[in-house]
Amino acid sequence: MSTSPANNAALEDRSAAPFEALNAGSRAGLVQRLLNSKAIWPVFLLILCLPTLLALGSVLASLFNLDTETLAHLLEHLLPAALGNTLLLVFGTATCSAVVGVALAWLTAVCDFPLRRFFSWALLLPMAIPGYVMAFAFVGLFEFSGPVQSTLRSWFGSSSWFPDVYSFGGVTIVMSLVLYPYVYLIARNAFQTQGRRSIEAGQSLGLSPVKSFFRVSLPMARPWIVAGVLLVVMETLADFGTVATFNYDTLTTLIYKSWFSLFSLPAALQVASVLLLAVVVIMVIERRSRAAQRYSQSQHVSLASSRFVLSGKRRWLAVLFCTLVFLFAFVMPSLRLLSWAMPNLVSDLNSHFFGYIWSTLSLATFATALIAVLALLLAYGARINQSLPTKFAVRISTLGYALPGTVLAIGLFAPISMINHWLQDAGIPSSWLQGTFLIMLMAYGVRFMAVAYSPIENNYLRITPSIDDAAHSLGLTGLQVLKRVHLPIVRRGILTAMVLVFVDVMKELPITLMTRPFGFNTLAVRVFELSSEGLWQRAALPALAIMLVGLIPVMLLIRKTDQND
Amino acid sequence: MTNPIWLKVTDATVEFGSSHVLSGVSFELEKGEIGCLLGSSGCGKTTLLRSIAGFEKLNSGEVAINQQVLTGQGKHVPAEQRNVGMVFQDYALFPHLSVLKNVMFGLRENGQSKQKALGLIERVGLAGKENHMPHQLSGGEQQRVALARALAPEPVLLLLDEPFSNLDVSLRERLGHEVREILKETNTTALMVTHDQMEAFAIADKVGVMNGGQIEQWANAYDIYHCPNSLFVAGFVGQGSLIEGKLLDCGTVETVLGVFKQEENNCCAASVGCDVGKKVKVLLRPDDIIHDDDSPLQGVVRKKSFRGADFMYSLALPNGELITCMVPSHHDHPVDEPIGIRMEVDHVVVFDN
Repeated sequence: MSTSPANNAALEDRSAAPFEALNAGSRAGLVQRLLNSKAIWPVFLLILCLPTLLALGSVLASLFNLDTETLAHLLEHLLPAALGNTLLLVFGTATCSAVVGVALAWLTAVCDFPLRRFFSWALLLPMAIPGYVMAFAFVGLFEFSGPVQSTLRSWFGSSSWFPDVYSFGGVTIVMSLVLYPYVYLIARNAFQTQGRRSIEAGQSLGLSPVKSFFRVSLPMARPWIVAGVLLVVMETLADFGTVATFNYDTLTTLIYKSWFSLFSLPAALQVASVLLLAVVVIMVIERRSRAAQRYSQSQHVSLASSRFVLSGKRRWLAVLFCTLVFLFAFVMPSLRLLSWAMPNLVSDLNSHFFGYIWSTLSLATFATALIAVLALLLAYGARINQSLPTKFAVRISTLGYALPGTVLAIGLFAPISMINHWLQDAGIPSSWLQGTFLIMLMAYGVRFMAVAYSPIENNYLRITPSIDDAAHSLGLTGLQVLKRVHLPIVRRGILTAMVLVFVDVMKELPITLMTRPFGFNTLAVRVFELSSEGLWQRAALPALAIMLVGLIPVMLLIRKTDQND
Repeated sequence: MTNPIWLKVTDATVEFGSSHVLSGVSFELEKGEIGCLLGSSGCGKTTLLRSIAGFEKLNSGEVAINQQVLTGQGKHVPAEQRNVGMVFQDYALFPHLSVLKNVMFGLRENGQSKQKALGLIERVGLAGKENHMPHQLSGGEQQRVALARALAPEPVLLLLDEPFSNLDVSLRERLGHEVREILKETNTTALMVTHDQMEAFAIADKVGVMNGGQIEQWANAYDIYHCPNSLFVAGFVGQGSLIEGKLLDCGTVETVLGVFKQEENNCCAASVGCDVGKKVKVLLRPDDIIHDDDSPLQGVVRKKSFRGADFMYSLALPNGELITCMVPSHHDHPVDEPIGIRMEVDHVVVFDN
């Protein structure tokens, strides 16, 4: 074997490398040792899980401290109606969004018709509109004194036959329009994987395409559809702003009322425990269906099969259906908001407005930075440290996404205020506890950790252990591996996490409403306050601001799904 | 009396825009025959299969089964009405149904169907696994379920789209023979599509070598191997080499390795022709050249490839031409050494220069 001088030089460099690595490695080893340390890592995990455990604990503990007087009042008058309304709303919204979402998903994933490509992404746009914004846009449009009914009255004399928008029907329709994209997105994924193949398999066994859809495609996609519907159910259970705008009493509004109107924290906690029970039931169902999802994944990717080209009546029905949904879910609310905001646009863009923008942006930025860093540390550490406590801690800290904001707000407020009293009684200064952002940030952390953790962990999954080994075998130290291998790959996930948390914090309502320091208002709170008083017009501008920001993650999502198309 | 013509494809043409995926393809299968379309990707074989199944329409041409026109003459019978079974490349098993339910899917719901399905499941070697779910089965087992499912409704024609391409090589041969056995037992007419010639040779009665949207040769495997009718077929199927030659007489050609005369009843009878003095290229298969230490004719070993039962030697002739020669693997000769060879050319195949 021949060796050239250049080869020799390279070999020498390589042989010196291990010694250099040892020295540099002691620095990286420090980071590693930190993460593996018996003391620091568990403490970190505990700190992460504490807010979630506190919230859950205080809600459950309230069951042992019944405020019988308020509770009796609630049980007799308000709780049954609220519970009934909640269940009705959940059922109605789940059904509507399932039907609409699955139909749209099938049409855009497997069929072909005019404007299909446009609708494929446009039907995701309603995700930028928070429920409470869509709610007051609709109410403003269709209520008695609104433009639709007024026009009808000028044409026909009376509009008493027009359905009342402040009803079960009204709130269900609006919720479905807000939430169908979840089912749409997930079901579309499922149908894209099967493609036309499932129909053809049915055809080769004698089923017409329509029969094939119901006997083959739909059952095959069921685990995904169920996942989407469960997501819709969770969001419906947790919703506060939409139902409040419709004066539709559910468990969440009851929690709010118990605290702010009836001044009974224990009663509020007890209502929260009822809501929590419903959430737990849904989560158990979700876990079961996720197991089913695993077996349903086709083991071979369907070869690119062509789409069903719709013809005749069917193709125009498809276009009509998509157009109607898009119109009602995105175009109408947007136009209504714009028409309210435009006339006074210049005068409304005043220092007040910018004050709200500033508050919202700074809060969102701070919360995002905090949560992103924590999520990154958690993901990095969980990768190295595969122990049982770590896995448990990850589960707990990413649980919070399922917990409704109202429950979290109440659940954290109670223990913190208790600790505050203890400290005051003991003479220790405690003004940093209440009346500050502490509770709010804790609640954000609980609710949004999963949002940040998921994309980061996703990226980390792509870095297999053998990639780390390969990097080490080529002479890289731990810190170098982090810099040169991990960071470039995880960077995308970190950015996604930050965008998602930022937008979620901006749109968030119940937690902010219930735990904000006195005098601090975000855009979301402002919109809610104005719309609760029927001041639609003034609420339009901040609502549009929230929508604009909300479009950012939707655009990212659209780009990602476009790549898969 | 031969079997009746069962599947008849006439002049099938499929165009996508300006490109011709299929250009006037015609072939026939008798009842109970197994046919195979062999070609590399892009040659149009899958499109042809899907047209026969009814998933694609033809721009022109006809598909008829048992003299019933399914596509052509202005009509196109939808796939679900053809009773043509299909085994897809990715099996397309219904993941939410058990093996038994999958196999029974195309049958009516009654006790008889269940017995029939169980019988088929046993026949494909999966007895005892009726209640398993698809994800619990291996690739080979899934493929067998797909086969049983397609056979259960007793289709008039069975189509198989690269059925073995997702399996281990060792599994392919065994499954291929099993599939052929089952098809022959049930007297099912079948058409398969593959890019693997070993599969095609093992399973099919008739093979169609496809290239650029056309069938270059439609014959049984033996004839295709020994008497390819075009350079493409000769190169696609099996190994071999081409050497210079000159026609001496009708059916006789002279080469550096000697004079070869065509037998009378040979499938290649039409190949040679009578154009005396014409310069041609002669096809030599590795099995046409026998290793004989006593032979005066010699070639120098340039490359050798050990293949278990035999060596594949690449030999250089005195005039520089290279030929491939298959030799039993006991004869291990080093590279750059001359070895003796003897010619046994039973099939003389020539092509124009």
